[in-house]
Amino acid sequence: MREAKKRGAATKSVMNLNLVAMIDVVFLLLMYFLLATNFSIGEEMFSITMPAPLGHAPNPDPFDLPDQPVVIRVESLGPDRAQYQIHVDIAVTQPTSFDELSRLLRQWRVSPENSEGILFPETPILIQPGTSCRWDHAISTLNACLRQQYTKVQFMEPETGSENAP
Amino acid sequence: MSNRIHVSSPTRVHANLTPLIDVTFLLIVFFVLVTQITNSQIADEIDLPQPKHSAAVEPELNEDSHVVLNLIPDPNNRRIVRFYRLGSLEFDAGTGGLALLQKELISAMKDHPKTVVDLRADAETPYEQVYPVMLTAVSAGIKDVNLMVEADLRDEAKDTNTKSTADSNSDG
Repeated sequence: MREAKKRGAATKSVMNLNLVAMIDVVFLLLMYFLLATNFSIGEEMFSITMPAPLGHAPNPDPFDLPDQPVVIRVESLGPDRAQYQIHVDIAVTQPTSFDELSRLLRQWRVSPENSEGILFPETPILIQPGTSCRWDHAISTLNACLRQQYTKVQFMEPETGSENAP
Repeated sequence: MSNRIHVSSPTRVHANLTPLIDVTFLLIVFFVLVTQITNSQIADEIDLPQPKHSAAVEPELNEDSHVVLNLIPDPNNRRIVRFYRLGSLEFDAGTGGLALLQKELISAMKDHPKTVVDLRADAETPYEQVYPVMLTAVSAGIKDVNLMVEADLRDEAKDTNTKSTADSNSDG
């Protein structure tokens, strides 16, 4: 009797989950993501509106008074990112950094808090980088203007004959 | 006094796979969440400008009418643009590249009149090499150009909701 009981216990099927296949797939997925993932640097953008091509420009308003633009010249002085020179035509003391340029533009901007400002947000600002000016210096100048909510910022053609070419 | 010998059942050694599976699944979930299908039009060899306290905005998600224009620098001298890459097309920056680029941009404008160009130029690229490309875009009838920069993640005070718009002058 006891023998029969033992035999019955031995033949009893054991339920178990075979995890091998799942682990295989999971590791395959892990390897795929490890190899395929590329931690790219996030990008942002300055959205600019290009003027109409020559001959397609809308007729200007004949009664529109032209605003006197502010011209900001920027030039790279060397291969290093920190070497640059800014010249603003209306500034008495020239800014030495892009942060300082941004501060000056904030001081000059007319706003409800600053009634003594001399520039309106619609005042045209012309950025004239030198021929050898690094792109990031041109972009930093644009950024300094846009940070202070100036709306008419334009890039001009490169200033030729810049003496401080890197 | 009994001589009973305690015969214990043989020790069954088996690995507990539960923490391993937990960690593996965690890793997979992490990678699934952080992985995004990268835009194959983005050139890795370009080191984008990174303005401090950037007023730049997040790129738009609607990329149907976007074309990416990369100004690929020479690996030996990053101040020289070697070729222009528009989508999967490459044009030599030396001779006739701008004319071919203009032709392609005009073709893109015919397909999508509201084509937006994402301009990616290296931080070291001289302005004199970027400016003709912007002029080419203008002459092709492109109205909107996005100047791509590296996100300034350190600037927490940045207001990402303000979208700034600037005009670019074609001929001074």
